[in-house]
Amino acid sequence: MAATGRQQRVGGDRDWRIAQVSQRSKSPTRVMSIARTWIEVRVTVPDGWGELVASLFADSPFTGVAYGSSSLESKAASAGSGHLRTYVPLSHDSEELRASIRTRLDELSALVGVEELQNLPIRFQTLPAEDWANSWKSTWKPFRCGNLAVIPRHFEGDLRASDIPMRLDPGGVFGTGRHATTRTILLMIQGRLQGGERVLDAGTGTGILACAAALLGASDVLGFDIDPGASSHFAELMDQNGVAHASQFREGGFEVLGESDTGYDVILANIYADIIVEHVAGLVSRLAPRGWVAFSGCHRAHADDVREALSGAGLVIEEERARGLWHTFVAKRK
Amino acid sequence: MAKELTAKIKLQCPAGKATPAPPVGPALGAHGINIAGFVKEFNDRTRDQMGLIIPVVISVYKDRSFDFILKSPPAAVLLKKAAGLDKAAGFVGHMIVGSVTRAQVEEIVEIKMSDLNARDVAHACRIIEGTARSMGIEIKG
Repeated sequence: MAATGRQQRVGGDRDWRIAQVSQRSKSPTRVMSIARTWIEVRVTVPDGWGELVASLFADSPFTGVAYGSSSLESKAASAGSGHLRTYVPLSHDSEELRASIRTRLDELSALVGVEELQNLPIRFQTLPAEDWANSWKSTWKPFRCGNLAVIPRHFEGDLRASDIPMRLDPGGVFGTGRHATTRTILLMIQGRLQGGERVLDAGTGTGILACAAALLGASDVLGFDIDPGASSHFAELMDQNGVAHASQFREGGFEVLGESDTGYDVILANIYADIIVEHVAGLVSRLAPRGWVAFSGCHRAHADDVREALSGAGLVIEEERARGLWHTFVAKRK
Repeated sequence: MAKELTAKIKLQCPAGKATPAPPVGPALGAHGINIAGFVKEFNDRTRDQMGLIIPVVISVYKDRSFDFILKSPPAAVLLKKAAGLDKAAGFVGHMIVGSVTRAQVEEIVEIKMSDLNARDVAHACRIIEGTARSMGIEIKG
């Protein structure tokens, strides 16, 4: 479908109606997460003083602050006060640290001279080890994106004759395919891939785009990502889908591409807009004369920058779709 | 049709560097929110403020979709900036590491007033001044 304007609504995205639970992000800046035990430090603070108390927890080893009731408890603080929670990795927990928190709070009260800040209740609680990056995916269900049916490995439901199954278990931090950026680019590359293409996937993450390209007929797919955790997810995904023979992963950023990495028929990227803007010219130099690119992950605030960069790199935008806040582009060489 | 709001969650996360680890994971996980989606969007919207801690208020809707608004950086961050410090004193009140002027405090109060949940300007000033003292920052003038 050719682009006829700045934005086109994604259509034809048939879907098993299920929970909105997952997405991928292929940002080279993200970090794979593992289960880790944390100590939750909860301080009950009189209304209006939360930010002052939070200032004590601005630096390491504290990892940020949450206001209000914890997801692990339903009991709110009493009227006129609120809970403030910060977190410390178990490895940093010690009696000294806990004592210093009490000392800090007492000194803060004295420094400010506010009586209601004296003896603030503190509770320390060990949170069960949980891989927060992945546990929320427990409600993960299959969905369709065009003809691609993204299904868990042990899915036993019926598929349509036209479905191209992609087996994908919730695994990596990102990469279950539900995010608008992923779904849109998956839709846009279907019908364009004819089979036999050489494909490059920049910032491949867990490899969904690379895998989809291989399932749609690409003969040779190279994905790269700076995240060291991506490699195993990529390999597993390709293996699960029987396309490992057609795929290759390199760990690193754009520097992993060598002089011989040219002549790609298709270049895919679902990464931040500023990275696309920075690297589009280099990517285009690796494109075959009649090759095309599909870039997703562009927040609408940066869509103009991406359009300009694509044009400046000698590309003509053939299609642009917007879904929610995210824009996806398909462009060819002029 | 307006979406039904089920929760409002307020967090403070490092600009451009939020991860699914606490406080994000426990706060959002129980609501079935797409944590990866939040992390990606938050990081994308705050990348130009790297190095700052950004308060964010996340609205969670019944269909488990969400949106969020970014607030002004915490007073501690603004004070460090005003005092030209990379890091504040590690222990409350034990060391003076820098100073800000009364005018700078007033500027910060102005920036923070709508986010502080302060009862009035005097209360807001006490919050900012208390934050400064807790960080080892003197107020001059």
